Amino acid sequence: MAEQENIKLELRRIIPARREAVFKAWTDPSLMKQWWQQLDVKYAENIKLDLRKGGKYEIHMRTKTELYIMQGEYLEIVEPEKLVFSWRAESTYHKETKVTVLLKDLGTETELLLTHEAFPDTKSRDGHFQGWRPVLENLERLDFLL
Amino acid sequence: MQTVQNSRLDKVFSALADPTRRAIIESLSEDALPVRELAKPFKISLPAISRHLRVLEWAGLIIQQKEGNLRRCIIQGEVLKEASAWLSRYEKFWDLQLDGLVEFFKNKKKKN
Repeated sequence: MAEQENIKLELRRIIPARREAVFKAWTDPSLMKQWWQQLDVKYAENIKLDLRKGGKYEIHMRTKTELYIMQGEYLEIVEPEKLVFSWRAESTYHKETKVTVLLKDLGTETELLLTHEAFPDTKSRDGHFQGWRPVLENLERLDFLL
Repeated sequence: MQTVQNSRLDKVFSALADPTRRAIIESLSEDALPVRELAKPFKISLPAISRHLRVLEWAGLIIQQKEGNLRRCIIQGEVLKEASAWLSRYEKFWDLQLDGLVEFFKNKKKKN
């Protein structure tokens, strides 16, 4: 397949805090465990972050019945604007995926752009998620066909 | 460990990593179509379309049924749903995390 594209999802959010504080919230385990959550059951219980390029991180999240483990390596750290890390979990079938957190300085607020890419090893270009959207929107109608 | 589901999902994503094939899936999500009919909106040859259809079939996204001398393409919704489940699951997951982050700073402001 010559024309490889990247399957990814993007989320944008305005965070009511200065950029430096938002970056710290993502990189300091004691802060991170105060906001990282899973289905409101319980906050993450074990967060280890070795914040340097190539350093590993691990996040444990426990629901009433299960323990979820998320892990990966830091690929790029540009304080206070960019954090890139690989991401493996049961929900990615223990396959490497890539998460990028971009922070844009808006003064007292920060614009956060989060990208989660399914396949970090294929040649990625920008904006290809749009092409995937209409297919998803058609899925609801597919229910009638099944 | 390569699970069955994993390799199936790999195939689905690589098959959908092409705009023409996504467009084909889109047309087929409206109705099952004969190959010739399906090829109409695309400015590529019938053999080229057939190649794309083979990739989609390989990924389990469509099946091709022979009806006389016509080949009809039918979408396999379950397989497509499995792929989309990955995206929607993570969209929800990150949405929740970012909600948590916003709440965290809102509460902090209240305290100060």
